[in-house]
Amino acid sequence: MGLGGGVQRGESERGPTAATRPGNTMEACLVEYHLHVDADRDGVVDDDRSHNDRWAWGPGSKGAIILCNNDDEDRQHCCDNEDAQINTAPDPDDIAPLVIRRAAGHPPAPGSWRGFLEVSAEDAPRLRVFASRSSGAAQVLGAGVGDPAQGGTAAVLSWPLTDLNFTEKELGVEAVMYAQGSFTGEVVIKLRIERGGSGTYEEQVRMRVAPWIAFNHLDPTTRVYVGEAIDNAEFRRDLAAQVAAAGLPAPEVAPPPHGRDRWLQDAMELGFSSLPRTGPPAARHLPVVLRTANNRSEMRWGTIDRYPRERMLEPGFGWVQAMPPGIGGTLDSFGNLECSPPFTHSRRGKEYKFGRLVYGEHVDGGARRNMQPDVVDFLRAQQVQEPFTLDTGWLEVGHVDEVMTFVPMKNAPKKFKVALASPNEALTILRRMRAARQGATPLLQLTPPPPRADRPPTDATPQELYDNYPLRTVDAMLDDATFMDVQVIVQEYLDGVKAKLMEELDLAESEIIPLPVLFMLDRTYFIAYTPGVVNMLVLTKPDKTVRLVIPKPFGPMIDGVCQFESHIRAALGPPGLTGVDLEFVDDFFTYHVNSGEIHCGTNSKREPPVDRWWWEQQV
Amino acid sequence: MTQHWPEFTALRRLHGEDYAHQRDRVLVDQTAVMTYLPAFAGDPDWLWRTLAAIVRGWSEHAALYRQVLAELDQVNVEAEGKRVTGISRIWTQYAMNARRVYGPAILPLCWEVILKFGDLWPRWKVVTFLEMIGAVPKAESVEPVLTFMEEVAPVDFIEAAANTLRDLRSVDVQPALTARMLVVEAAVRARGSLDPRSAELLRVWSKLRKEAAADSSPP
Repeated sequence: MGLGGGVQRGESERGPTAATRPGNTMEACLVEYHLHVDADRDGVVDDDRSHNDRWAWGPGSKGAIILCNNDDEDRQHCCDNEDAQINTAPDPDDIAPLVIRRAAGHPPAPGSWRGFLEVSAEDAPRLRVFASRSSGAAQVLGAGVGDPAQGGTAAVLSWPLTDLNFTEKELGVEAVMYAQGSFTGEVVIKLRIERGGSGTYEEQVRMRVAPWIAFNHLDPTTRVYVGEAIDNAEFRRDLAAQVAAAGLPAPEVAPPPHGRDRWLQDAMELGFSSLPRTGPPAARHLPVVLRTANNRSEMRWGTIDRYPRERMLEPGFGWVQAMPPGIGGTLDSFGNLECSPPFTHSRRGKEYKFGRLVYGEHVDGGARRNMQPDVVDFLRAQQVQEPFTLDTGWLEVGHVDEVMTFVPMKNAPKKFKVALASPNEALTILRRMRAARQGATPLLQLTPPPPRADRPPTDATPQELYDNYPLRTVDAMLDDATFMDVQVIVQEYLDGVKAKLMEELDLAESEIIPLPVLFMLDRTYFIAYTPGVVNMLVLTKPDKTVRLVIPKPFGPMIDGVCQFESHIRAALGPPGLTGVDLEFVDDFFTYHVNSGEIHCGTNSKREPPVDRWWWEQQV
Repeated sequence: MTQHWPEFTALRRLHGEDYAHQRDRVLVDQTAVMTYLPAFAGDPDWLWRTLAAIVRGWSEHAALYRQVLAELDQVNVEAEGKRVTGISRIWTQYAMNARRVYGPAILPLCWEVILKFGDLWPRWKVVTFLEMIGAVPKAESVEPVLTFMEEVAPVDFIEAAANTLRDLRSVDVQPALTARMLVVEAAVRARGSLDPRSAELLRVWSKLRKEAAADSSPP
């Protein structure tokens, strides 16, 4: 059976593993070939292969990882994992190692032996295996390229090794897709050796695709995005000033035609994926932008949804979609997807190292008034940020960012608190003013800009848009029974939102900061009447202090001081204590009148954390 | 039956403006409507039943239909596109109207739009009618929606109706969906090739079947 002596290998040395289990023909031979991967997640291929066929979450657990290699190292305007080779450096850094090694001291296999690397038909479209880990290495196994019916190539399920005359052969592996649907994220690659008519030996490695992880507000901001709309030059200037004050580079302005569609937040959600490597840091991070499922031009917004793929995809910056874009609904916009900072849910005994995703739902709203099932499935399948929902179906827009945001706060128990829209806070201020005989004090004191010369005649003028907000004094608001009823109803909804946030994020009442916002009824749904101050941009500095860019609320003024602004400053606490600095920026005629605010009109790229790794989370 | 009322039976093969003119001609002869419509309304063929319902709908609710169509003609699409909701605000509004105000009376107009104008009108407008169909879930809507997907919608517009099917009752949708899939699959087998329309139909419908199966499986 053997080639020379009769040394039994495997069981006596390492115990009964898949490779050496009794009955496995390999154990009696003198030539052994095995698969080796970085199962212990330190960036180095392991000698130990005892955990190759299992994958486990948690600190100290084992299981190899591959990266969904969706950046564009060679600037071909397509993701690196859409072609059949390893691209220009540093693409090899995105490729996980897979080594076939002949056991030390063993002679080469006889010429009659044949080796094969194989994947199942199910796994084949999910990965690519390359002949080496160098730029230019060709794919040998896995997904096809394009549609075979249209001249593309079919998936390869089995790759015959040219020969077995090597002591070690390093291959590379990348993922083509993230976990989703029936794909749990785990793939299996099998080594099969036919021993010249003397039986067959098989062993396998199990690898997991690194999940897509959304950034959260505790991750330091590295770049801000805003669109160049036809009327927002002044806003962009103000935003740039705030971004500069936070020590960040000037915002990346999406020019026309993309930027004409000003809703940057809704077009994309930014996140990252990580592959272990020898540190520091102990991971290769790949920022990845997840595009909205909405085809925004079909839905008459514009083309900002194409900006991520056409302009942001680049070396070291990946792109992914959860489903082919189509005609969805407003809740498919990613202003309706936020992520909490990391926390431990003490009552459930669970640590969320990367926070939890939260999105709004409209329970009885129909399919188009809810996030598309494929997108929800994608988010859930990533596992590490266990999504939960808030009831936002009562809002016309229906986005979570209309009612809440996460504010990093260095003196808070969880290092963050939740800012929540509150009509009650606003009404308390108004009632206090009326009691102080200040009921005639105006709110929403703005001067509408002149109509643009290039305005289509059917478009409303700024003055006409301003007239949609007819209640402009403290008394006018408090005396309007319908308006007051609206505040009561909205507050009830928001109390429900608060309860759900406290439950799912393990928050105490003191960890919710109510901020003054008044709402109005637009036919059957509610929308912010005063600018939605929680709909803010959070700029996080490397030291985790933040600068909040908050929509200017245009609340009632006393002695030149906006009472809403002063309340917000007090509620968020002294910057020296909380690490929260803030400024108010006027977005009224550029975003608010169009049913959005600053957060809706911006987006931010952030720095992945370097002190925690997703594979160490217990899911 | 069909030889007795050729004006009506012509509706089956006509499309777009030709169809609209013919429908108006049919409506002019109320005696024929009263005489023959009940038979078509009880026909085993769903399309005869649906066409009869459309004609009856126009007979009984013409003012409502004209009002809705006129309102939609007045939508400032450009202005809606500036808002954070985009055109979906209109969809939300009309779905709510259908649910709370129009009720099932609006459905014949919706069926007519998707079957006879679904490839001709602006897509946002067609989606408005799909949304109203979903807002008033009735078994009678299943075949019109499936036919819209199979025969009317451009290939890249087929999936727009998936959300409508999600809003209809699964017990109504799934048997019809399964039957349609079998027909499409048989046609593909007979041809020996998978054309883009069949591929898209089978992709979308398979997804809907899987979702329904997942929804009905025990947790």
